[in-house]
Amino acid sequence: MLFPTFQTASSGLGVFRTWMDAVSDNMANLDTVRPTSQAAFQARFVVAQAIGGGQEAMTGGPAGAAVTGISFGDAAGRLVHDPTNPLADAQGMVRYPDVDMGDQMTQLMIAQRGYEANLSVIDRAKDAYQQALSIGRG
Amino acid sequence: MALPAIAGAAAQLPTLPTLPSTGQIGWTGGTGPAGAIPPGDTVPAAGAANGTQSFGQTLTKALDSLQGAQANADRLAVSAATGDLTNVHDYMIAATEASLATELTVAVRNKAVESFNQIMNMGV
Repeated sequence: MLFPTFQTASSGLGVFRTWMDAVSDNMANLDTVRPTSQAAFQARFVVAQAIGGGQEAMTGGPAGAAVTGISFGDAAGRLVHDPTNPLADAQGMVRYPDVDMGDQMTQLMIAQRGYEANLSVIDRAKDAYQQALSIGRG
Repeated sequence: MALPAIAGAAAQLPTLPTLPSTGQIGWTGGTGPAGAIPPGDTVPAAGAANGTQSFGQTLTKALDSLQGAQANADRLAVSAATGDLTNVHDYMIAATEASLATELTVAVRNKAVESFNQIMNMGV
């Protein structure tokens, strides 16, 4: 592999982008109401794992992180008394998702910063490679 | 962007002789240069027999790698234009990789030409 740093940083970018996707899904469904007979909208959590056993960074093989799956939050959600809602049951209860907007915003910021960090790794690696190419040019 | 002409030309390059390995470097007292080629010992034409690569082979491999990087960047550029690109960074990284690989190849080419010119200007 010619520039292994790029592959590693690219896998990190993929993980954080998927995380942002999951957060946007959670945000979009903040007010998704379900009747009490159904499960509430379940928050999406990205499960990321390291690629390889750690030796790859030294040998130039593919290293980094990968999304291995999505796990889901509580299906019970929050029971809210809202008798005017057409989905309300006989007691006037509906099911809201157990997703906190503040928590999601924090996750979004972490994901964005992580994405930026990986981008900056790529920039620095590119600069380093270009510096190496200028060896002996002066 | 394919570079078949350059890759083909690189394959045609005469293989440079590798320096004979003597296991001894430098001068030993006044007895002359260590590791001088014994009479009758011909310089190997190419190092392929003992596992090392000739300059031509190395160059061809590097050009193949460059061509692969550029083909990858082209493929991702097409998918960006057609709306099939899911990860924006994938294309930018591929483009950066292709650009760096080109710079590397040009740097190697410049060094090779420089060496050639220095040899050609050598006063005998």
